[in-house]
This record gives sequence, structure tokens and C-alpha cells, in this order.
Amino acid sequence: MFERPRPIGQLTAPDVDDFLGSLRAVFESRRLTNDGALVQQLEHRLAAFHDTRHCVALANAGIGITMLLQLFARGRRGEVIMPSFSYRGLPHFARWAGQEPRFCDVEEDSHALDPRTVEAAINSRTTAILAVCNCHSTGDIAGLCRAAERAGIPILFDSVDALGGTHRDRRLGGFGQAEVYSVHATKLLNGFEGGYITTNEDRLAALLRWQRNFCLAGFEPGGAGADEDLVLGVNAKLNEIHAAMALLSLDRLDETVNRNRARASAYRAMCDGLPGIQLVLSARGEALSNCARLVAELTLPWPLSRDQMVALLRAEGMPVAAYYHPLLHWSDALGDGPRQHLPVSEALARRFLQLPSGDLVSIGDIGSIGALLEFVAVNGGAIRSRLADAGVA
Amino acid sequence: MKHRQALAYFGGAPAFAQPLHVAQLNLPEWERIESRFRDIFRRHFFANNGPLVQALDVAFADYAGVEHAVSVTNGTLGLMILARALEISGEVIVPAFTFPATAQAVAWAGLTPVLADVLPASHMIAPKTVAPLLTRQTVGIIGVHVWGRPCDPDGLQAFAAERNLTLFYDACHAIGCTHRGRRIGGFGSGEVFSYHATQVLNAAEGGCITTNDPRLADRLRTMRNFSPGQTFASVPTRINGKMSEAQAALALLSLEDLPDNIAANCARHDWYAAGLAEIPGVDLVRYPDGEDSNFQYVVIEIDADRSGIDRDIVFDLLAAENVLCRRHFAPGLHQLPYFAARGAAARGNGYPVTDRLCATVMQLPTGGTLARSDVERICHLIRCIVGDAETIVARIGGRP
Repeated sequence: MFERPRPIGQLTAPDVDDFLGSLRAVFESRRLTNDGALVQQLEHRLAAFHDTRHCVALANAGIGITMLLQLFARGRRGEVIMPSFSYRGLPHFARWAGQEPRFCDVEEDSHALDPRTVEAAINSRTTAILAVCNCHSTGDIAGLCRAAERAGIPILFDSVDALGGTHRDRRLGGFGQAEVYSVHATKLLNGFEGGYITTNEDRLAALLRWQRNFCLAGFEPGGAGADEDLVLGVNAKLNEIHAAMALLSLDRLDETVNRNRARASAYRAMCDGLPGIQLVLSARGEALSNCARLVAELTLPWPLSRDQMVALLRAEGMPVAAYYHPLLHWSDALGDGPRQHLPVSEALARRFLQLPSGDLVSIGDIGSIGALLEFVAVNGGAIRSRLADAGVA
Repeated sequence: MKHRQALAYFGGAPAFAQPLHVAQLNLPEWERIESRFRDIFRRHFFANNGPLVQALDVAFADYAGVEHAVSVTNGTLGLMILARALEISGEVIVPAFTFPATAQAVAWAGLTPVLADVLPASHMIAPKTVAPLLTRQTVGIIGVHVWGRPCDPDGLQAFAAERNLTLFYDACHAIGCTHRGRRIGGFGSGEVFSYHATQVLNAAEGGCITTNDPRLADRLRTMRNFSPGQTFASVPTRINGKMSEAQAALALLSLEDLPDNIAANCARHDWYAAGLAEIPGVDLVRYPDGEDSNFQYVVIEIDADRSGIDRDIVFDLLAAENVLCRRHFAPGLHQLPYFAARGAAARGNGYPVTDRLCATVMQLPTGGTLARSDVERICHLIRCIVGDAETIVARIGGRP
């Protein structure tokens, strides 16, 4: 259907001449990295955007989560509580920080960690709770923070998909000990690669700034807490070119979100006429998200399985992916331990797929996708048989 | 000769109006940068193993004379990925005289760094400094090609092979350098380079892992990302270590310019050698004859017994003149709280050579913007300082 692929990432880009203007200034300053002027400007603006005391810009979001887990472990080898129905990188970040993942079940509507399962999982080895705010729902942030506080365990939020969102009328950024965001090209803000941490904790921010630049001698944050020997340094610096791109993307954030919401509306209108497929846009009456990532849920009577839909759309030039599948506690890479049973996550695992979204998908494209889906709805039985014959169940 | 009273430290005007730095900061002409970035925007391909990263992997492997090059976010992440991809578990010998990232990467990979002292002439580890630290837990050695001089590849390779230890290298300083005519990149199980802006090849940030082992290369390419489509081996741990198209664009241009930039470094090094000749107690680190070097660092050792003045005094006097030197790698890693607290320095007989180097070594400004006249003025300043050492030291009371 599409000769040029219609991807699932935001892939927004500023005007090339605007970008080259910023790049030229970087070029002339000859300051390409090491806490340059644009990184500082980006941090300042993002802290204001999130209404937090600090923003620490980073090479990418994953290294940010890894740094936080290393700091929170305070030299111990323990466990990090995290959802299984989530981004495939999460357990790896724990491993790099010397921790093991401890998977917990999620809530059926928000797909976020269920505070009750978290409380049940907390034990003497727990070093942190890694919660995730999803693209359609932040989850029960207050409940999770209460559980963390009661147990005296740090909690951080992977808010990569929820940028711009709110929880109880407060903008995300300052919840838990810290939140982590991405400025990867496929995310709402495009900085080529990159990420950042927001926090209201002064000491944590100071340690993170020191940690991202190798914990260099002579640059110790000082102040309260004799904990500097617990911090393992790394190079997690964001460079100036990536910061320049992210800043221009931040300038256009509202426009980008508006375009995303127009795409979401088009998809929703399309789904309204198709039984068994619906767009997952919000839960519990939460405000509409940034709609950078658009996820559809398949239920009966939709004639094809999620995996069949993925295969079908890919063949038509849409490199879509199953949403959070396979479950992380099913991953072979995570050892031979006894398989946990996480009933809600397991029930969710095969129902969702990501739809083409972002700036390379036009409203017209969504019309074409709608026509394809109508065809599938009408001819589902025959298509299902042919896919099954081809080995796609 | 600039008289003592004229030194900026004592109130004179600084020799340089603008600060001079220890950093390469080589940049291609703007028009070439602009063209590459217009292409990126035209393709709308910004990250995730894009065409420029793929081209860079091929181009750098070709340059380094190795089978595989794997571009990554930065050199430290490259070291972390390599150390974990080697599938070893236990203690790894790490030099105490290196940038902290060498040992930090080993620790991030779940290995235990054990710090070794270095040799006074080479500034690097050797079988002699490694041997006393070996235990049954020792599984590997990471050599560092400090200043771009090869870290005893023959001796360490034989030593490691005899003991079934995995040898790998931090080659962040050593782009374009050779050992017995062979480019650094193919020694040990794998080597890691840095494309940081201060290095001779500039991608703002960036790095690269090289190896001749195809199985290891598959693991490295898998580990640097989380994409199911970029999975070439079964690995227990992955990370986002991806280089962006922006970084790769700059690196490719910088690779084109590398011979010219190295030639310019070489010339500057020669100017320094001439300008610093026969200053008592000031010894310039030389690069091996008959080998390629990138000359990206101009390193001197100041022997206070012969020069009559401590390195730190010279450092401060030069800083006042806007000559901003560096004191890599002081303090030694055995002094850093994280490693000291974990017994990384508990074995062996201390670090006398590392401690001495940390007190005597410093790097002088070099890089793309430094003119011959600048180098000559810096050398002249050092000659004046050492020539007047006794009075200067008397006046400032020994230490600044």
C-alpha cells in the first residue's frame, strides 16, 4: 500500500535551515559537548516546562534510568520492581546497575504498575521501584508513591511516553524521586538521540551531574551525605548538536501535539465504524495524551489476531510492532528461574498493536489504512485462513 | 626573555588574550557539514543504525585494518559493552594511571577492577606490573594505549595467552597509531576508540569498538541497541549505545580529514620538541620512531629535582598566561573514592609510579587552532619559568 514506509515513531523535524542556524553557532563556538551552552539552555527550559527544580540532560533515557538505579542501590545488589508489560529495555537497565528485575503485574486500564502488587513484592532486597507512565495513562502515581514511601524505597518514573501529561492536574516531571524522558528521534521531542531526568531533589541532581561526567575528581558535589564513594561514574553527556535539535523540537511541541491529536481523531473516527478494534487514548477520564504513540486494542469480533494484523500491515509498508510483547518476564534472556504468573499482564499481552503515527503519517494515509481495515473486517475469515496457511497465527 | 615580573601570575599581562586548551577540536569546513546535515534531513533518518552509521562502521574498520567496527554513543559505553560482551566474570586488571572511565566501564560490566601500577617510561602497564596482582579470580586485562603509544601488545598478549586471560584495550587515544606497522584496533579481543571532540577524530561525542572476532562483533552489534531487527546473537544484556546520524556525519567528515589533522599535530609536536629542547627537567614524551602516531597529546614531565620547580607551580603560572594545561590522570584511580572503597587498590605494593606521574606529568595545548607562533611562545614561557625557577619558588613560597 505504501511505497515509503509509514513508521510508528514521531520523527518530527524542525526546518533544516533553522537547525543549520543553530549548528552553525555550535560550529563557530567550537564547543561541541561537555555541558555546553545549548545543553544548559535545554535543561533550563525543560525544568521550566516540567515545573521542576532540576533537569539533567543525558546521552539517552536508558542510561538515565541505569544511573538512577545505580544511585538508589547505594552499593547493594538487590532487586528493582518493574512492570512486565512494558519497554523491553527495562530489565537490562537494572542489570547494568547490578540489580535484578522483579516483575509485577499492572492495572488493566492504565497498564501501569498496580500499587497492590508492588506492595506485595517489596522485600528486604528491593532497592528501587521503576514505574512507567504509559502513552495513554500515567497510572496510579499517588498510590505507587505512597507504597514506596511506606517502605522507604526510592521510586522513579519512566515517563518517556507521557511527556506533557498530568496527574491530578499537576504536570509530570516532579513525581517520585525522579522522572526520565527521552529525546530520541522517534519520541515527541527529537534530539537525534538523548534523554533527561527531572527531579526536585537538589542532592540527587548534583550527584547525577557528577555521575554523568565520570565522577571527576575535583568536581564532587559536596554538601550533605557522605555517599560519593557509592556513585559509579559514566559518560552520559548530551552533545550540543543533539541539544540544538531538541531545543528546536521543544519550540514546536504544541504544534506537534496538535498534529498528533488530529491523527488520533482520524483513527478514532475510523475505528468507530469497525467492530473489535479501538484506539487506546486514555484511561479513567484522564486528559488526552500527546498522542505520539498510537495503540489499538483488538477484541472480538475482530477477525484477525494481533500477530496477524502486524504481519498484514508490515507487508503493506507499515513497520508496525506488537505493543509491549513479549512480556518481559517471558523473555528467554532473563534466565531460567521459575516463570512468574502475572494474570493481568498475560491477558493484555496479545491484544495491542502500535499503529503508524508521527509526522510521516498524513491524515490521508489514515484514510487509506481505514479502507484496508474495512476490507479486513469484511473479508476477515478468508484473510485469516490464508495467513494461517502461511504460518501466521 | 619574559622577565619574572612580567609573568601574569605576578601581575603582568597574560601572554595570550584568549585561553588555549588541551583539545583537538578539529572541525571540517562548514560547507561539508551543511551538506551532510541537509542530506540527513532529506532522508528523515536521524538515529537507529542509519546509513551514515553503517557507512562509518565500514569506513573505520577499513581505516583501522580490522574486520569489524561497531560505532557507539561514546567511548565509555563502548568499553562497557565490550567488557560485558567478552562473557567473562571476575577480576580484571586495570591501570591506575588512566582516565577514570576505563575502570568505571569494567565495573559497570559487572567485573571487579584491580588496579595495577605502570612503568615509568611508558606510563603503561606491562606483564611486570600485572603479574603480582593475579589471583584465581583474575579473568582479564585491559591495556590502555596512553597518549596513543601502544600498550605493549606483544608482551601483554603473550602474558595473557599463557594464563588464559582475556586481553582487551582502551584505545581512546590511539586512532591512527601503529605497532610494528599494524594499526591499533586489532589487538587483544577488542579495542575501543573515542570520537570525543577533544580527540583527533571528532563526532562531538562518540566511540567505536573494533574486533577481528565475528562472533564478538555479532554480540556487540546486538548489545548496542534493543531492536529485534538488530539482533545477531543471543546476549543476556543490552543497552542503548547507539550513535546518531548526526554524530556519524561528523565522524565521517573527520575521518576524511584525519591524515591532514594528524600531519598538523605532528608538526606542532615537532615545534614543541624544538622549543622545549634542553630545558633542564622538562622532558617531552616522544612517540615511537618508525610507527604512525596521531600526536594528539603534547605531554611533558617536569622533574622538580632538575628543573627546580614543581609541575603544579608551572601549571598555575601558565594558566595565568591563558595557557590552560591539563594534569591527566591525576589523581590516580587508586585515589578515587569508588575504587578505594572497594579494595581495587588493596593488592600489590602501592602505586609509586602512578603517584609520581600524577605529580609530574602535564599536557600542553595543541589542536586545530594553535599556530606555530603560539607554540613558540608557550615554549618560551616554560623556558623562562624554569630559567628563573629559584626566584619564582622563593617568591611564592614553594607551592602556589
